[in-house]
Amino acid sequence: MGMQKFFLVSPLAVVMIVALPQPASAAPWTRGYVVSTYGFAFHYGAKPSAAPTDPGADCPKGSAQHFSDEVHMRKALEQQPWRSKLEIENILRPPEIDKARLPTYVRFYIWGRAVSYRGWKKGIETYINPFAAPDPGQPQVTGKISDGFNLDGNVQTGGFANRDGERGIDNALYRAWGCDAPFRGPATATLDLRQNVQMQEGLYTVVIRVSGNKDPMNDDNATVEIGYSPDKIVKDAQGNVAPDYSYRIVKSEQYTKLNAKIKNGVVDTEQVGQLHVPRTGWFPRQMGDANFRQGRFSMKIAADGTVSGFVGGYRDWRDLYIENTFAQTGAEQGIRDYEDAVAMYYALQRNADGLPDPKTGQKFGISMAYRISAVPARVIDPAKPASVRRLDEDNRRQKAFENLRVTVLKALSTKIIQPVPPGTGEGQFPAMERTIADLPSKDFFLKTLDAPGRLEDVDSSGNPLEKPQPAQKSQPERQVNNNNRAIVATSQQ
Amino acid sequence: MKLNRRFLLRGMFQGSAATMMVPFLDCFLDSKGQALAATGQKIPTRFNTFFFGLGLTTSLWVPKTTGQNYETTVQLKPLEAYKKKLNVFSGMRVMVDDNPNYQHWSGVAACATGIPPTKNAQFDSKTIDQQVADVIARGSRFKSVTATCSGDPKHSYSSLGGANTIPAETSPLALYTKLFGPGFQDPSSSDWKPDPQVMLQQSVLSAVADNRKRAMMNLGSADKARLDQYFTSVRETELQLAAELQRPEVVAKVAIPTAPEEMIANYALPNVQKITPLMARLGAIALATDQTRVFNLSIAEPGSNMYVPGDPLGYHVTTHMEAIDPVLGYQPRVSEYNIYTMELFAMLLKELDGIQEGDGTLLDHSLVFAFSDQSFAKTHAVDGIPMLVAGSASGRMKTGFHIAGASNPVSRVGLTLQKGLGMAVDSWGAGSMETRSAYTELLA
Repeated sequence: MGMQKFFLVSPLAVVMIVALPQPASAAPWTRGYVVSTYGFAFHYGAKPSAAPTDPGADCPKGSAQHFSDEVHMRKALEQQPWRSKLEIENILRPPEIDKARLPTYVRFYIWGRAVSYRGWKKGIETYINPFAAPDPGQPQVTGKISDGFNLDGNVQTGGFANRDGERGIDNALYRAWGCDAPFRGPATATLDLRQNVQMQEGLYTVVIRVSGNKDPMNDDNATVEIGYSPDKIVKDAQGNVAPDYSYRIVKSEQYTKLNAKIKNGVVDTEQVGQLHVPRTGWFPRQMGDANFRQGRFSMKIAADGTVSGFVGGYRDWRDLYIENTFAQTGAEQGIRDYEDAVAMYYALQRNADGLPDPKTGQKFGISMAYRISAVPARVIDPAKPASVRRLDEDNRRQKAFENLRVTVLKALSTKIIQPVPPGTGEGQFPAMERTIADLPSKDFFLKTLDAPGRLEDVDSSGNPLEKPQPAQKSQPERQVNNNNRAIVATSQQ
Repeated sequence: MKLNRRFLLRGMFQGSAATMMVPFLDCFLDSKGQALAATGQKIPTRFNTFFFGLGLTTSLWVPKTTGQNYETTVQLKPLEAYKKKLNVFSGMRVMVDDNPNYQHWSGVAACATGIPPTKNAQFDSKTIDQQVADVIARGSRFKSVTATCSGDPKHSYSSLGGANTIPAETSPLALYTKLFGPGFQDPSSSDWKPDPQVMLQQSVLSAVADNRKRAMMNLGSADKARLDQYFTSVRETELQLAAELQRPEVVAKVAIPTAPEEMIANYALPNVQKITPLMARLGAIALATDQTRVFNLSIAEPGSNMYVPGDPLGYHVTTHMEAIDPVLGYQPRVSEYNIYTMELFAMLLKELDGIQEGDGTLLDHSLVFAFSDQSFAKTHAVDGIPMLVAGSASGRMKTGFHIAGASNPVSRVGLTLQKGLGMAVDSWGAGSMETRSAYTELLA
């Protein structure tokens, strides 16, 4: 009888306990997460079943279609008045292409060489010197809904409202690049898909740790940490990111610790002058610091323990241009993904809304956000100093990427035409020369589509061939060095 | 006249000399039709690999149900005739561990070695065909034979490890010349005799071998290990030569064809479609006549550049450029290329299944391992790489199943294959893909 009474009474007691306001607990708490998806916070405004060229509320003409076919390619080539009609026709349809062993790549690299040189005169590599080419035009987002933050605190600026109705959302990158084919659409955004696949398959790992002293769902004095982890993402049997695994957090350049408030499971951090978090990418050379200025982080804790949110701020748009354009080469990515980096350069410049140069007033910042989703994890400090492993070959590529970056920044800041630096295949050199070797009409292209200034003796990556050096002891493989700051473009450069 | 299995039918075929080995008659076999009555020797089990780049379209190739009697999917339709002799593995995962996902390579290397590659374009061990050849190929003229259908000798996924691969034969004529050109002696010929050149080579090696013990004395452990490795390779050569001094066991009903004409071998699909069945036929005859017991065939490289004439993009570029049709949920043009690759695979199976051998066909006495480099080429994904295994390894492998891998490592398939071939191997692969768990439900 006693037990029966107990069971009759106890549910009521439970209900009362839950219903009563709970005093704030003083016990310290920590929650960890591993990021499972990461990418630009671009709001897709079309139906899920829409084709890329179908209009959407975001992009009235659908996604950009640069270089997608002969019509678009012709349009790009006719912008250079120095090209003859014969040259354009031959580029579009290389003569006797069917006699080449690899006709698809013959066309690919001839087109690649052609779009790499679209300057006001022949011989200017236009991905390194985009200002030297006319603006091809980038379709921009005209919709009024966007994810992201009101970074400047002004509801009159930004021009977007978020899906909760908050006005003044600053996400100028979305306006500039939101109609770019490889980043638009849940199913067709090739680069967005690729960067998530590569992250989940081990290219890099981002972890978040939230801690406080009250209630994990309501704490006005919490702390948010974000950083790289040297540990690869663990996936479950279905291939999803598995929850509750342990990850070390690396306190490197990309590590950030922020004050935050949590209200009903919504975590909002302070806005800080510089917010260092890992940036997105799909090749090792793209890895590094996002370095948001006026940065913020916000996330919502769902009932199942997963979180979703945004990290954002102003980024130097020149960094964004370089990170995206030179992931491979401007032409390769452009032709493959219907993307024109020159058009995207002008779109960035046109939409810049932050980080004005103190002297000239020119804005080098653009508001943006990354969208994040994450699953619960145990985020721990490493027992001994740790860094993310990086292969020697990645370090070589990173070095070449940095050289390229410095060259492009110099070109953009001085407007003096810069040559293609060694160590890059920009300009599709020597890829075109090697691919068209058996094309009967190759002489026409070798003469007409020359790559001036390029060295003759280079490897497939554009590196000058070197004499073999005696083997040296391998350096520690690091993606992030705990002691050195990452080189990040600033408005002063 | 006494009829034995070396009896030959000779004559003219379309104006050319042709040699026909007699059918593998019941009188040559034991009562079960599985072994040679005279010697009791089992019909040898053979191993094939078939590499096709750029994967398949998940929604179009993965059967909805597992086990037997699954409904054939759109992209497995070309293999319908061999469904009961085929096992389909979906959802198998490549675990790259602490290595990058080398695009278009990690999948190839992981399937072929069970080890995630630590370097791009390099294998971290011998490939599975070479591991198998170490065990089953002794007694055949060639330890393994590798061919490709797109004309580039680099399109070989057979390796002793590292960056070097065993070059592929690039045309039917080249493959024919290797198999049946100079140095080839018809194993059924009445005047078969050991090649004097081979005898000379063997005697030289024997002289070297006699000095082994003396050479090993007074050496440090590192040098001993190095010399031991050297002598191991010498020993392998000796065995190879010894095999060539023996008359091969021939058990099949096949005709040695005349030499094919030189053909254009490149990425154009019509050419690939012409060359593949010829390569497959030559490979099958080589297996049937015991010239080799391991035959590898690839369509092209991992990021396959095969193209349909008139398609300015070709297969690889299309996987990246073509949008996913929002209504269909897949890339329509890519899915057509996927089907072409399965049709090419069917051509190999047709040739293997067309040669009668004892109680079954050459395919029944083989295992054919087909694999790719990507699951979803658009994003270079490697989880869910399509893997197909045909043949029953002389009854040691049950067939007709769809196995849903549920993210198990691809190495489980490799281990199952080796166990199916009767190899004494307990575990296979390395790192997270090291496995002791074969699909025992498939092992008879």
